[in-house]
Amino acid sequence: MFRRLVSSPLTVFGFLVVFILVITALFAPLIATHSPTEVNIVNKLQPPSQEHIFGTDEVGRDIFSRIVHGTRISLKIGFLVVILSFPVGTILGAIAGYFGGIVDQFIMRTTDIFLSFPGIILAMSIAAALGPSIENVLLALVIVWWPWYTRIVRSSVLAIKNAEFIESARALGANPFRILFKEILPNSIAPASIQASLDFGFVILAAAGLSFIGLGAQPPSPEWGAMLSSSREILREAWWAATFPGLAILFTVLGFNLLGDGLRDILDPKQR
Amino acid sequence: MPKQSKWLKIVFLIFMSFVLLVGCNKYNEETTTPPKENEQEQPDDDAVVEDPGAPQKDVFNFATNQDIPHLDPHGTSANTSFRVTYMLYDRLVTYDGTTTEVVPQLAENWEISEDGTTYTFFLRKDAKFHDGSPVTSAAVEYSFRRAIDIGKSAAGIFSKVIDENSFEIVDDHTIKIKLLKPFGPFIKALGTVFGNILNPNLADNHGEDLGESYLADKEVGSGPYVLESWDRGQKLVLKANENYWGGTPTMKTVNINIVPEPSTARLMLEKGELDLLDDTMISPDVIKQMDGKNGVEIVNAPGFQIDYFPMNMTQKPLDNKLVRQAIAHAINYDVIIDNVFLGNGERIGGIVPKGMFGYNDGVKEYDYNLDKAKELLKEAGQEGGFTVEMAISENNEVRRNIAVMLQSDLAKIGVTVDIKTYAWPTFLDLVTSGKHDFGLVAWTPDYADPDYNLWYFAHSSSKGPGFNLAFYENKRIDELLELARKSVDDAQRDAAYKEIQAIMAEDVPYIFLAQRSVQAAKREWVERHEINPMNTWYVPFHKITKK
Repeated sequence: MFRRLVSSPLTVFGFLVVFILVITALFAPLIATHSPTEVNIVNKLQPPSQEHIFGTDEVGRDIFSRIVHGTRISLKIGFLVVILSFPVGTILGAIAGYFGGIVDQFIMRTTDIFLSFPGIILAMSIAAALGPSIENVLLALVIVWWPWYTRIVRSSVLAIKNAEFIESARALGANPFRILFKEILPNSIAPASIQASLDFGFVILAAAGLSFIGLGAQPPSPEWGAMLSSSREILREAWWAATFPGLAILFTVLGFNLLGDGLRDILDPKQR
Repeated sequence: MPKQSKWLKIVFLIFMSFVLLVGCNKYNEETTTPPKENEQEQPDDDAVVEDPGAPQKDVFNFATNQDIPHLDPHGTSANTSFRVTYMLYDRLVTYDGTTTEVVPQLAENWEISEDGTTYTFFLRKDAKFHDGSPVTSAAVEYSFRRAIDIGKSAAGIFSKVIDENSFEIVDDHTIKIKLLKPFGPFIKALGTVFGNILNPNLADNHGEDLGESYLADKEVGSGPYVLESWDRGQKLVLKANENYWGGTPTMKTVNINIVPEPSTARLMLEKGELDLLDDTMISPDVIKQMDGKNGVEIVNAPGFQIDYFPMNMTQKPLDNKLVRQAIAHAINYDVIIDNVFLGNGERIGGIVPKGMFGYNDGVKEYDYNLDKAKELLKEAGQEGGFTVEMAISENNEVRRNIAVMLQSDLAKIGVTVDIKTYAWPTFLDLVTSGKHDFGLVAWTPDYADPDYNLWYFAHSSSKGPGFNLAFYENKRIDELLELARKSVDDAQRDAAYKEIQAIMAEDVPYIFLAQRSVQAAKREWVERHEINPMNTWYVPFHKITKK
């Protein structure tokens, strides 16, 4: 597995980006050169220099330090949304696939309702209804995200639920929940977990988008989307204020996607 | 297979970046097309000439980033609607140029009785509504009655002020109006958008709901412009009134464009597609960069706008005067004025702006003094600090920057400020219902009289929707305000207003950050554009000419 990982340079690149992000998030206060929230307006909109390597923003905060601290927010959101929506979606998908009938109908029609809206629009309306804060964005994204896992898990459960090893477990008298959680789920969870690894990037992107339109992180939080939004008016004079948060989002999403792609190639035997 | 797909991906990525670059190029080409070719073509009056370089001499393009809700002059309190209705309608008197005194418009002159309660207006005889019917005394009575009957924004200056049974039509062009009691600023109030005169035909044709639904997107005025078309959320077009008594405006067409993104509006102005931008839409940082480049000129004019924030006195611990005084001492006003407003503003101690009648120059201004602030907090038993929420409205860069500055200032005395951003309607609902701690707002009076500012900010009856957002109540101030309203003696009114400002400076229901001057971005070719310090919503399109 390691050899296969190394043989794909893009996966290695993705892995490195994610690794750097995690290190940055863990040691943010040590890496940052300034406080991410300390206002120093006399020093506003300074171009990149030795003192402020990414320059300063419209109220004189150090952009590098803000991006470093913003890593924590973005990774936390990506992680929490996936961690919270994945089990919900998986368990519901497994139940729907295994029991079928009215249970299946109920669960799947519910997911259909959620999936019939464009995800970001639904998340926007939920976040707007709950009030602007990063916690509410998290909640909104969880509500939007779980149906995808339900669908994937259900279809893989359907594919193996009549397999011979399931039949034999049933013949041995195992109860349905044992069969579901001990036999079926471990064998059908791989596609969904690959999807989850790809989703980290998309969740971070969605959260940045919601913050950009003002529904997410509130000032002075160094959230990347909010930073991008607050500096867009001055973009032509102070390119650095919007460019660096934008690049941070770009590399984070790219990194997670490349890593997710690589993991799929490695873990999914059908793709081999 | 995996290897191949990776290569495909790289090729695809490269291809995509080319697409992006090509897109950029095309955009640049479009924006820099030399206007020469068009000039060769035969001029055609009807054709839309897409020529960014040379201005059309009789078409004026204005842009704002705030949508226009509706056009009923008696029903709206939206500033973007004011700007349009000022041009569609005439008033008995109006504000003109850069003065804050009213000048005659539909009324050629007027008489006020000794006791200050009876007003006689003599109307000009050549004024006509847009449908050709003359403007008569009956129209004046109809308009004022309608304002009261609708009971919305415009009712504020008429109901409980005018004696509704007193309208006396002396002849077609003379009308007498009695007030219930003297109201000093009455004439000034008639110059605002609420004093607009409507065609009484409205009652016959669309009377069922006082014409409210009809007027939402139509007009029945006598002003220098008529409404040509309105594409909601996009563009509102005004056409010059050829029969206007004051002469046909030079600008035959005025396009009020709704451009939500300020940076887009800025580009359009620099390319010459726009002539003038709404003075509130661009932040001082960007304004500074635009001045004198690409044919753009920044006009600086004195202004009566005051940026302030209310402290909701029904919330603990803001109910404690010492806490509010401590907050007033903890704000670094000069740094905000110098660096957020870039010096386009000055300290102000109260809500009555410098340059207005009744301004008290002796009012206490709080200095930036952290020791004093901490001392006051200690005295109030709040030395441990506390947390408050500051509500701000979205899409306002300047206010967000101020909020962040206030947040960092107040953190120094242990007060934690949580900033919450809301859409404007939600924001208004929050602060008028008293669920806020702090808000962040700016205020420009509609008529130049301290009654306007002080009544709304300090009278106990104005709490909440009346815009007393601090929910401030002071018996002495109520008394003084009512006294000054009744008085026709300017010296007595002046003294009352000065006393109110002194009391407010001591009680600190509001923190006044600065009185800001107006900065408007326009093309150099725009001439005769005047900015009224008080009423920046009154853009005199009918007077503007182009070089």
